[in-house]
Amino acid sequence: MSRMHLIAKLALTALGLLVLVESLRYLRFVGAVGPASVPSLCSLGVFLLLSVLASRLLFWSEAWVNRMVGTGDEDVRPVSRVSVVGGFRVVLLFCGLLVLAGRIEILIRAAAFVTVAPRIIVNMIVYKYIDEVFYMPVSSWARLIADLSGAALGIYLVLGAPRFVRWQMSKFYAPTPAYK
Amino acid sequence: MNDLRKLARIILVGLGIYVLVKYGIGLFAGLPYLFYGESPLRGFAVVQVVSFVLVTVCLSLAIYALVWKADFWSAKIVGADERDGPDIWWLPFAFRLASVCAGILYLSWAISALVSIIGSYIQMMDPGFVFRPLPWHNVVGWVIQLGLGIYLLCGAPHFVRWQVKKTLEHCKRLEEPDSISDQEAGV
Repeated sequence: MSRMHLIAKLALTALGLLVLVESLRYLRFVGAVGPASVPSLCSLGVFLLLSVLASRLLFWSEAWVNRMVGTGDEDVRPVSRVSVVGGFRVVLLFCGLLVLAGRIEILIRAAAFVTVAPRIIVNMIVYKYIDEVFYMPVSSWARLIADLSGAALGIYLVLGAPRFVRWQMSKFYAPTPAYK
Repeated sequence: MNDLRKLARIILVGLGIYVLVKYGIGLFAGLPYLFYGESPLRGFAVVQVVSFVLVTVCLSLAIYALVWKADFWSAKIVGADERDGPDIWWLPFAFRLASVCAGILYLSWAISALVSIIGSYIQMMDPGFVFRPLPWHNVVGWVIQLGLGIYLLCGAPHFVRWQVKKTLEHCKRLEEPDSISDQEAGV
């Protein structure tokens, strides 16, 4: 992989992450007016569409990278492993920090819930009832899932997304006889 | 190294202009209400003006450091330990640059949110204003964001060191024979 390929790949990865975060915003609107209403279905449709686009940008972007770089790239020297891993980690870290910026509040709420959750669960088991906390409309559940997914994604990205980077590396650097 | 300094300066100035334009638009949207609006709208306009002034002051300080004190700022971003390194000298620089850029954005968001909270509390004094207190987790979240923004703007030294260490460990692990089976499996 040449330097231009790496830059194009990193740009598409960043774009894919931002599209993924944008898709989570639409998941929050599902069920806001009513579970089976037209706005909810439209939000679900936009969420699915953006998710497909994001997965394409994140996992299967080789065709787009090749088209962006073109055939005129004369720099055929492969970039080092450190450059690829470092480049991915820097881009993922920046995107992760941006994603987490809007999710600090949900992390605080989640931490506050974790402190009281054991008592609620024990009470539910002992007195055989379901706490009203869990009786939420579909829209609240959708919002909660979207927020928690965003927070988890942000934390994973800030930690460097090791499995994603390893998977990307396995695509660029296929095992050669020298390693066997 | 000069190229790196130029790159850092271009990225940071570009980001500064983006933030200023964003807050400038808010200022122009709120300015008419300052003179003609009702009480809540006038409060909104005051919040916009104060946010813009505070963000402008912060960014002016940053850009002053970038343009007039270029060596100080670039040295902060490039760092002393990686100037003479072999082929990974750019890694701490890139992580630090990402941290500083994120710090500028964090600070700009946190400042405007906190100014609007303070504005709401000031508006409480107006008897005609219906005050709806913000949930505590929102306020705590923005205070944490402000703290994180300051830390990131300073280059997040511990975090960057940890990231560089992890990146190099990752590269080393990829070169070990055990990792090949993972690669073949596409993990």
